[in-house]
Amino acid sequence: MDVSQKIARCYDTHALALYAHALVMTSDPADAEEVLQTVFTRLIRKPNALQSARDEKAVLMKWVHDAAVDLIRSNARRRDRNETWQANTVSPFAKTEDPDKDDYAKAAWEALNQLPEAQRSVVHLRLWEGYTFETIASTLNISINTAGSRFRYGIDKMRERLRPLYEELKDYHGCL
Amino acid sequence: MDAFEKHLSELKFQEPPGDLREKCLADLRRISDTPESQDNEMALGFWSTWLWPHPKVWGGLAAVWFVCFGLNHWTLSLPNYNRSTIASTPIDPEIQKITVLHYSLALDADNLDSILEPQTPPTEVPEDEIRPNAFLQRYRALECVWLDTALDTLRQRDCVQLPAGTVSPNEVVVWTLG
Repeated sequence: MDVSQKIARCYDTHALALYAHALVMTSDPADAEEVLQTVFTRLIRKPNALQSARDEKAVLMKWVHDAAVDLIRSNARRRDRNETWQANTVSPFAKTEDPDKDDYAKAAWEALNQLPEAQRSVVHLRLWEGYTFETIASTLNISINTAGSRFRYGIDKMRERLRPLYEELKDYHGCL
Repeated sequence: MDAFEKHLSELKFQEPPGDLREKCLADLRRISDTPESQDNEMALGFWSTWLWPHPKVWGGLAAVWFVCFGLNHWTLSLPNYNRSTIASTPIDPEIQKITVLHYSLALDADNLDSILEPQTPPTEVPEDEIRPNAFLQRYRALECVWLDTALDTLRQRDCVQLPAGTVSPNEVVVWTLG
C-alpha cells in the first residue's frame, strides 16, 4: 500500500469522527470542513507522522483539535476587527425517522453548543468517541483530573438543560 | 455511564459532505505528481510543526542570537582593544617607578590621616572642615617629596627639557608619559 492509499484509507476510516469533532468545536460546517482540509494537508506533507503512532485516530483527533482551536482564535480576531461573521449553528446530528428524537437531538446540540469549547471537546470525546480520560488528557494536552472535571461540569450543565425534554421522552417512550 | 449519558451517546453525527473527500485528498494528487515539491513541502511542514506553538517567540530568539553573535564577532575583530594587546605593551621602568611612587605617597597620606585621627582638635570646629584641610596639607607635603624624586629621575634620563619655575605634579606625569 503506497502513501496515497494509506492517506485515503485514513480518510475513509476516521473522517466521520474527525468531522464530528471539528463540528462540535467550531459549531460551523464550513469551518469544520476547513479544519479537516488543514489536517489532511498536514498529513499529506508528513505522511510518516502516523507510522510510529500507537493510535492513529488519537493523533488525527489531536490535529483536528489544534486546527480547530487555531481557527476559533482566528475567527475571534476577525470578530474583534468588526468583520461580518455569523456562526452557522445547524445541528450536526443525523436525522432520524422519529421527530421526537430529532427534537431531542436539536436540544442536545444547543445544550452542547452552549458549553465552553474546553468542556465541549471533552464531552464529545468521552461520550461519542468513547475515549478514556487518559486518552482525552493526552489528546488535548491537559491533565487527567482536568479532563475529568471538565467532563463532569459539562455533562451536569447539559443534564440540567435537557432534563425536562429527557424526562418527557422517557415517560413517553417508557424505556429510551 | 448513566442512562442520560448513554442516551446522548446514541445520537449519531451526520456524515461529512461528499465533496469534502475530494477537497481533502486533492493535495495528495497534486503533490504525488511532483515529487520534488513533496520534499520541500515536507521540510516546510517539519519546521512549521516544530515552531508551531510560538513562531514569533522563536523568531525573536533567533534575532537576539544573531545580534549577540554579530556583536561578539565585531568586538573580537577590533585591533587594539583586547586584554592581551594591552598586557603585552612594554612600559618604561622609570615611568613605572614614578607612577608607583605617586600612588604609594597618596596611600601613605591617606593612612597618616587615619593614624593621626586621635590628635584631631576638640569638637568646637566641625569635623568636615578639619579633615579635608589636614589631609590636603599632609598630601601636599608628601607630594613635594614625590615631585623632587620624579624631577630627579627625569633629569637623570636627560630626555626632557624642564621649564624654569614652579612645576605641578600633573605636568611631571604628562612629561613622563609623553
